[in-house]
Amino acid sequence: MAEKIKSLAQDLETAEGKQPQTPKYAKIGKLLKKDAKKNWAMYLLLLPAVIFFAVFCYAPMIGLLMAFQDFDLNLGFFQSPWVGFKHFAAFFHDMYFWRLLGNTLLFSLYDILFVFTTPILLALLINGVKRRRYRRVILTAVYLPYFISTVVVCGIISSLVDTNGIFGIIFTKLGLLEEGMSMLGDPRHFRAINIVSNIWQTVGFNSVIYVAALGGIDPCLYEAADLDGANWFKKVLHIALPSILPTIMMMLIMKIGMMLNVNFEKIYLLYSTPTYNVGEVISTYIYRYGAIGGNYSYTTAIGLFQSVFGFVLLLIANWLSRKFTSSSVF
Amino acid sequence: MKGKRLLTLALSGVLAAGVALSMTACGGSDYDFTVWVPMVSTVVGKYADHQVFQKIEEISGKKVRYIHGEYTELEQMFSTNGYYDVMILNDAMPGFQGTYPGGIEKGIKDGKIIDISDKMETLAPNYSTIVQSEDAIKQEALTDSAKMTAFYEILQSEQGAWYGYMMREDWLKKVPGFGDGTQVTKLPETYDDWEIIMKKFTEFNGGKAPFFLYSKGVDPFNSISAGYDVTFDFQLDKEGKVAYGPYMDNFEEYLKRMQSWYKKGWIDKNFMLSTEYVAISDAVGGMNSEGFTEAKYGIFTQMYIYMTQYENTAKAFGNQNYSLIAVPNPKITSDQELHIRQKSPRAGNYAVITDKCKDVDGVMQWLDYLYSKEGQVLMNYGIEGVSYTMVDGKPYYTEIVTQNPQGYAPSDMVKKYSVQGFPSFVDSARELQAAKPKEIQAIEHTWTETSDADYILPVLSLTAEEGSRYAAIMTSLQTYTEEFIYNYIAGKNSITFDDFRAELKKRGIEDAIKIKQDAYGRWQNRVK
Repeated sequence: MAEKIKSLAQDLETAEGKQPQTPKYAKIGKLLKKDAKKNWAMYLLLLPAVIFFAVFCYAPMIGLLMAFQDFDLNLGFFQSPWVGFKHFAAFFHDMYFWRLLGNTLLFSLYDILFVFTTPILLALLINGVKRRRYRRVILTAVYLPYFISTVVVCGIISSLVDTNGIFGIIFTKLGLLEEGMSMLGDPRHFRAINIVSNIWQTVGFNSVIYVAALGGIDPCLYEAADLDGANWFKKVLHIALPSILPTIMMMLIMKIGMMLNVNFEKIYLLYSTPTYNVGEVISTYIYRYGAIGGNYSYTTAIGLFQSVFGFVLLLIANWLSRKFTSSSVF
Repeated sequence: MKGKRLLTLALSGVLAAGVALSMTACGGSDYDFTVWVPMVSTVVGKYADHQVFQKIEEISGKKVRYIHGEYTELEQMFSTNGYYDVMILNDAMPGFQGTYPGGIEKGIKDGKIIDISDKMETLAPNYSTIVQSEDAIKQEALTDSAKMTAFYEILQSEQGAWYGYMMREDWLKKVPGFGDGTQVTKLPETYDDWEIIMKKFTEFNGGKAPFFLYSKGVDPFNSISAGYDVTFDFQLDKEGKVAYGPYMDNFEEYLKRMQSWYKKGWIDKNFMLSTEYVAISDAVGGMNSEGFTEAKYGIFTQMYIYMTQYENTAKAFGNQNYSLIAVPNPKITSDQELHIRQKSPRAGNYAVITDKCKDVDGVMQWLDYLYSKEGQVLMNYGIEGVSYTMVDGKPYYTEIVTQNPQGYAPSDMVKKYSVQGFPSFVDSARELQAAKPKEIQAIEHTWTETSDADYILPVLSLTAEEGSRYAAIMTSLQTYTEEFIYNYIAGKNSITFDDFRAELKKRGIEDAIKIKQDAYGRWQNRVK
């Protein structure tokens, strides 16, 4: 009996041995080699991009180690003491944790609700303009603010909402602003100022891609709809929107991936003590305490937390998109 | 084809020349040592082109390479070994570090700063005599373990307060009780006096706020809160112990006063939006732009040298009546004594020698020359015949400094023709030579004689461990304090002062006070 089993096992072994066992990766390596020989020019073209990502995106990730150390510039990465999750724990107990998280999420939510949707609306409207020349003029006009530097934009904003600025005057007259106060000092208006100016800045630039997508729709569809007596609204709802839905979804997922990177520069340039309450987000906090205050480890931990959190949101969005619209990024 | 080859040749020639040049630069054969020094100002320019440093090179025969940078680069420079032979540092920089991270003693322990204390007396006799001459100097120029290992810029005598409150003189004249219409008869003393004045000033200012309050709720030297014996930072209390101003009992009284001024419209509703830079330009409405408007404020703090600058600017823009007068910090009762005002440390910027330096003894002798009789005049007044002349054996600045033909301010010319912020024995009165009588009145009497500076904490040195513990406590507390103060003044607080203090306590303010108290104890022991 025992012998039988033994021989069976031996058979099995030899049977396995007979099959040419090449590990999977070797196979891929072989394929790559073959492909590289054939398309070497393509690989050469790819190389700068690979180097770019390796040097500027992947190598700096070593810096994330700081989050788990009591980093000391003098000791460097290798000698600074390791402290595990101490800085993460400290952040969760930080007196401003909920405020930071809440503000960051709110800004992101408003961003998606308003800043993300307006370019789509604008593109639909522009698409409705029949004369090509008008269309081009309008597109250029709304496109231009994108190229103004944020610092300049913030300068414009603060004079517009100042006591003597047009919006300052209007809001004071409406009773929504205390007399003699700048809107920037009123926490009620801070987020709105940010979001509205974001829209103004980016709506033209972001609508270009949708205008292009709308241009690609087969005109036969519209003709058929015209024959059926559909009005403009119906045509948008049943032809234009479904046709550009994959584009929208892709943009949305990409947007969610960067969602927590709310417009740091603008918030930083515009907020002040009275509006910390509604304006301080994770990235501005990191800047103030990390770059200026020199708390490298602590703020790296916060940054890492934000990235991981953002990544999880991205995965969820991608999964939902795949499930409901069958289009996804990966 | 031929053209191309020529081009190639030319390019490689340039390249070779470049390499050769950089080789010689690295070889270091063209200078004896390097000095890193923060950029002073664009008016002053590089030290390589500075007349005093050129003269020093002539006298000493040592060729020095000056590298100008920013204090903010320091931490990185020290950690990446990118520092130089001699580093000019400063411990008292507000808001950021201008020193070796963890202080001089940490630098010595790390082996990056050289301990020169035992050679001081033999190689730098001038400097060590100066330091030993007075306890006040010794206390600031020694490290916590009483080592003399850096060359400080030392003031020859205590300097008066160069910063304080100014009021519009042309308005004050017209306030009954303080002026008779043609001149100011009495300077305001108490907060109540100020309130009478502010009421009037609001009228003169067309209903706009007359009082400029800094965005943090106080000016950088706590002039307005001095009457309540509180500052916005760590300070000493009446028992001589370290305390945190916003954590003290009196602080709420101060906030209440500001709150009432805010309610009455005497403080600009947007005060928290302005930065210090805005303050200067707002005071006279855009100092250096065409968009000059009438002065927005009637009462504000500034350095004495700005008095005439503001007046001249205002006149240039057509406001002939504009004039300013310095007033003392306000008190609660007129017989009260004040203990808080601007106070300059006797020892300021300092030079340390690092382990990069190959000729430590030579550098020490070079630095010591700056403190010799001859070196002192050179550092304080520049070159005879150019920037000063001798009158009765005493140096006096020439008109190139006091009344610059190109219209530069005397304070800038003092830095350009003599030296500021570099190891030397500074004649505290030198700048007053270029000051107007009104400004001298301010710095010598109005601001200085009305108050001592007993509650001001000296520049302390925290150990590296203390420093990181302190930072961990204070970083979020500072924002918390700022927000509370703003909301209190603006009348928008949802929590009481007691809640605020309880939160400070919960977040470790007493540990932070303890750290400062320990450091202060070490500071006191330096001269024992």
